[in-house]
Amino acid sequence: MTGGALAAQLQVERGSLSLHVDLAASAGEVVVLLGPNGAGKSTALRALAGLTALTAGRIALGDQVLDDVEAGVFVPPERRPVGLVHQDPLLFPHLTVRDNVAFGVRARGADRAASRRVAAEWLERLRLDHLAAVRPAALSGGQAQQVALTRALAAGPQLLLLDEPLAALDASTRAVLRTELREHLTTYGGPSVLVTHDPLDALVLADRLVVVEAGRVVQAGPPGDVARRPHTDFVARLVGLNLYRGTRAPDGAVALDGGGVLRAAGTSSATGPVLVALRPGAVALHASHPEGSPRNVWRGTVTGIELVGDRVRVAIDGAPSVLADVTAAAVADLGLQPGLGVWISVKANDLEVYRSAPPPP
Amino acid sequence: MRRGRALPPWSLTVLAALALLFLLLPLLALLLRAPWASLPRLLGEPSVRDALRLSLVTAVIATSVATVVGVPLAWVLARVDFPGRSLARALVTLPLVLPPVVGGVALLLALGRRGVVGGLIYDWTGWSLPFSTAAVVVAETFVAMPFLVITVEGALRGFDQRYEEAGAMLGAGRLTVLRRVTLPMLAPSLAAGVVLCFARALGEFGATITFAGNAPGRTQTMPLAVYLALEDDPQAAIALSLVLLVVSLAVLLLLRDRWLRRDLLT
Repeated sequence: MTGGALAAQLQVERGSLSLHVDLAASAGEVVVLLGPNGAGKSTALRALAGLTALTAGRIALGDQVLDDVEAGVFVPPERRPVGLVHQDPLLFPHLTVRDNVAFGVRARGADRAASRRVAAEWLERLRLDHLAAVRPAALSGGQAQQVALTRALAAGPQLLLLDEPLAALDASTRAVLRTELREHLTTYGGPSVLVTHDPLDALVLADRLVVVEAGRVVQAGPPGDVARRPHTDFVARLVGLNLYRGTRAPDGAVALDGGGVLRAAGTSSATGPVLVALRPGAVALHASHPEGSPRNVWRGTVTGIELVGDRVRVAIDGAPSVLADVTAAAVADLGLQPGLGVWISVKANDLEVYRSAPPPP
Repeated sequence: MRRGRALPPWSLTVLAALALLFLLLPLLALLLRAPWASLPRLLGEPSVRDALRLSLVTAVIATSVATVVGVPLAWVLARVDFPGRSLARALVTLPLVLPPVVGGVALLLALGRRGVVGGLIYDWTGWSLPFSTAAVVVAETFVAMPFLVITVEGALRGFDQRYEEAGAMLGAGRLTVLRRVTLPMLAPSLAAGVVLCFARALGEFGATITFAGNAPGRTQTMPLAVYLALEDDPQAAIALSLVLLVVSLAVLLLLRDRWLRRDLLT
């Protein structure tokens, strides 16, 4: 079902929370709000749903205005063509799966028989028809969340909101459902807004990623761009990059705010304040000053060693401090341990230098 | 070697045993002195049957009335933020602690022939409420409804409101959500409230005798019949008491039944 694009200016001031977020999502687009806990992501979603009142701003879906503080328009949640899937499935325990799915159809005017027919169709479409007669207490966590999604879709929403829909599931169920969810959101056809604090959810599900920190949008764009060129330490940490702030001189050398200098390849027109992103895997460690070509070489002290998958992540204090991913063999060869001094080298080609532009509106 | 915790202090054990004995002894006496042989004949007497029927009918009506208006009251107290809400909440609980006879006097002053509202009704229609079967229902409702309201309101306040939000996001208005989500999920608490309310209505004495009087067949409920029979026919009084005891035990069993304890949310 399509009802047009979402255009929202959300402002909520409540106690210590101050939220100023502008959101746009076109039909068929999945916008993911990513941010740390307490950033205001869920509040933004509740405001779109009409469950939290806006202090100022406007929410429009196509040419329908759902909320406009200045004009005194407020459509209550039950009259908004909006579906919400919560972290907990919140299935009604006294109704069967089929009646849960039929609930929204019936609430929007269909009679019992018609709503059950629609529910049966949706359950079949999402391959859940074998669960139709089951009560929610007998479902697994993953099944319950699938039913919750089906229930929301069956009501025919023109905007779909998902609040950490995979957060309550175990890792393997989560991986399966993530793929399925991507598929369902693609076929759904209307705009969707999904909130998560999991970078993997964000990268897999998002057409566009909006990073929210402390109630403000700090970065927005295609997930690949955001992952390659993070603007904040939060995003850099999520996607596992070293991120430095600095000032770039015309010769290409970036003087880092925290001390140290990094030289990227080529000469760039971009001078002034920049960000430098560096993959931990591109950092090499040596026992003595390395021979050969690397442009960036400095000394540091190992402060931590941790096994991550089949690599070892080494934290090194220096100018700048850096996280390096090395092989287990390298750890043994170099005798790495906290307190040990090492040489660090990074090739100029492995540095991603970009402006720390303010986020697009 | 003794396992587990040490024995409780003997002084507490003795006092606890005394308290238990004190509660059990009267009930035991009732059973011991019951005229078991003549019980069928006593319970078959028209006056007894009248009182029993009247009690059941009025208690059922009072419970129904209390449910129809009490559940909405509980919902408003739990869900609507209005000025004076805590005062309203306190007023609802007042009949719980008020001596029922005071309730009866208050009802007379409000709804009696010369009462604040009753006077107007009498002047217009020539009809007055007190000393009628309807007055029995009114007295029982007044005394028993708070039990239902408090039980249901407590359950509503403890209810996970995200289910109500889920209902709203599926397009259901607040009334539909109450009817199709909240009340079904609170069925155990609702049932407990109804049962408590019914038990209290059935045992009502003070407000009834003050407001509705003691006319056999019309306003003489079981508790009134027991009290009066004690003077001229003690055997009948015991028989009637046994019936009320059985009803109370049934209520207790209903309340403790697993069906009422089952938590739909887990």
